[in-house]
Amino acid sequence: MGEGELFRLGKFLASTLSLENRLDRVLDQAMELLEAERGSIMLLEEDTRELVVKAARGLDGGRGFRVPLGQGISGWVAENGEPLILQDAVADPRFRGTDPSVKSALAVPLRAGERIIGVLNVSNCTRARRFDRRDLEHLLSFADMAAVAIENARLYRELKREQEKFGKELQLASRIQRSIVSTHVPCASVRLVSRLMPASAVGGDFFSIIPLARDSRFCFYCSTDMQDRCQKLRTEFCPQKFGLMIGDVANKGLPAALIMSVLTTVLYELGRHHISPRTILDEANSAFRRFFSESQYGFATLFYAFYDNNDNTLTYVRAGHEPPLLWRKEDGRIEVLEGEGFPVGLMDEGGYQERTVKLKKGDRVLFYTDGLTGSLNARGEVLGRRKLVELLRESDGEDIESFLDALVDEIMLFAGDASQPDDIAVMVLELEELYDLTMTVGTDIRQIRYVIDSVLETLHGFRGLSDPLVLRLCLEELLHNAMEHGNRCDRTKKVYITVKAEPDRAVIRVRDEGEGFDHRGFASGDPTPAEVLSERGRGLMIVRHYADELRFNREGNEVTLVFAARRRDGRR
Amino acid sequence: MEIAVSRHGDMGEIAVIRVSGVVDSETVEGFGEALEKVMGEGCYNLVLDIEGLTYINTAGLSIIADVFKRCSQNRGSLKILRAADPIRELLDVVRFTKIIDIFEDEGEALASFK
Repeated sequence: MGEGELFRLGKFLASTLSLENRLDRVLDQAMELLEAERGSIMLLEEDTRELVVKAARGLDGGRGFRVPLGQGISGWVAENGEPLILQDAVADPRFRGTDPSVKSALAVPLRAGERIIGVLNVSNCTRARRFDRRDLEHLLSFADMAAVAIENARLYRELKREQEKFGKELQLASRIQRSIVSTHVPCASVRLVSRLMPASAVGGDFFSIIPLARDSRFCFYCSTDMQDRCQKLRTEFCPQKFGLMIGDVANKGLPAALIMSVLTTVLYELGRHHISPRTILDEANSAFRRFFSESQYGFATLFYAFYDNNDNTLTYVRAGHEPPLLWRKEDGRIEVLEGEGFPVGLMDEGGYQERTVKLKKGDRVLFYTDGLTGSLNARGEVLGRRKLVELLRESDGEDIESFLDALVDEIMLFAGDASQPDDIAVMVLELEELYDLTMTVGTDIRQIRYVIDSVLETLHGFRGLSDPLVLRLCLEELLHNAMEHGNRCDRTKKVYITVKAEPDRAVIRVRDEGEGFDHRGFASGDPTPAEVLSERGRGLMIVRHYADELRFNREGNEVTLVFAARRRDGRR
Repeated sequence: MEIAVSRHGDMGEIAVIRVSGVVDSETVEGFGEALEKVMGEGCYNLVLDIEGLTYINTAGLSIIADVFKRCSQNRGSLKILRAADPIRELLDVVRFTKIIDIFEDEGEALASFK
């Protein structure tokens, strides 16, 4: 074989990584060079101790044909690790059973280091070309090189399989991590939108709404009306209060995700014990130090708050976390929710202080992690809190869902081509500005008529009510959807209804505690008769037709309907 | 909701079902049962008279779609008689008017089965 040919082959072997491809190519090259009529490459299967044909030319037995180690020419070569030149193989007692038409044959072992991984054979049935020692030399140097490439391909394949397995596990981990997070706010007048964007599949940033156990000792704070409703809902959690947290584990990727899930579990559990945010943080701090005593696991910054719907207060503790920003609807002022305390897990005593702030209708609170303000762009600049304040100020009049979209767009735009270096978690909470009715009902179809009647009563001043059929139809549809498809008839889950009634405009919002659905899949084209008769999407078709505006939140578990009062001509 | 069934045609092979009032989450079951009973008697030529119907929810509409399908499968059919304007609009919105015949006159509706 010429140097040039070897070089070309070497280049080829380095360029493609499919094992079957390589073997075919190796065999073709060897046969061409040695003017052989037949040839095969067999690889040794470690567990069965058999040689398996992986590539074959001019033979009866094709790919997949097996020979036990020690049998036949190839079996002998693989077992002894020595090459063979054979003329009249049939005559040799070692190779009984060899095809009698074989006149001349070469067989060389394929080696990876000390190990024999297979055999390369070529043979001729005519006497036109008898293989000699020079041919064997060629085949040997050629086989060594091919063997290394084969081994590499095999290693690569194993590595890829490992990687795929890891990728799948990571995907699952990511889903699990997202399922720990809850964003279901149990109060109808409080809205929350959020985004969790880990820099890799999983991350250490987290937030969650934490249900707080109902404690009858404090129920007297609530009106009797409220207490009645509470009884009716038969909930173990307080419908007037909830915990809220956002945090950042000082680590990234899988290790951070593991710590995050432990910390979240601890905080959920503590929500059942009727203790103050400060005590909860103290407990979380010592739990963290107990679980992760090795200091290398670091710490977590955390902002933790109780929201009380009775007086709209937020009682919070800040454990070294980025201070949330409170935007006042009244005058557009921004308050920074400062507070004392060390990150969780850093010190034996966290030194936590509780503070309370009272929210008014229309106020918004922006919670975030430093991934948001600290994100670097390609020029090495950071976004900073000042920009956040600016964006929050500009959001006046905008729905919080679209404000958050705009905020995320801004971050992405700022980062430019730079990849997201840190996890980002962001949440916007809003105390609804204007509402005339808020209702919380359990998942119970029998409640639907009662809800509809209450809503219609609230809307008695709305001029668009000349046709109650439309409102009734849309409401019934939304409530059914929320209970059946959203909450999947789970009686422990609730549906929240908010109504704003103005003389010429009515806004109705229905939220459930389900996973949400993908509302984009419903096309508005012309349906076939079969589609007309199918139940799917019919309700949405109706609501879409009658409402002047129909909006879904990103998760798909909240729908907002707007009706404008104007004379309808019956059809649009 | 009120519902009344009468038989027409030479052999009583056509059923006219008059439904009036409200078909909502509380009455929809009764609506379905009444239609089921007629079909259970082997009658698949149905005229649904909805002149007095003031409200019907999506569950009610689903029942109409289902009954229409089953009548067609059993060599019969479902016709609708006299829909008030708001209900007519609704039937239009869900495209029922594309596949179900709607009549203004009972005689015409009955004759359409011949």
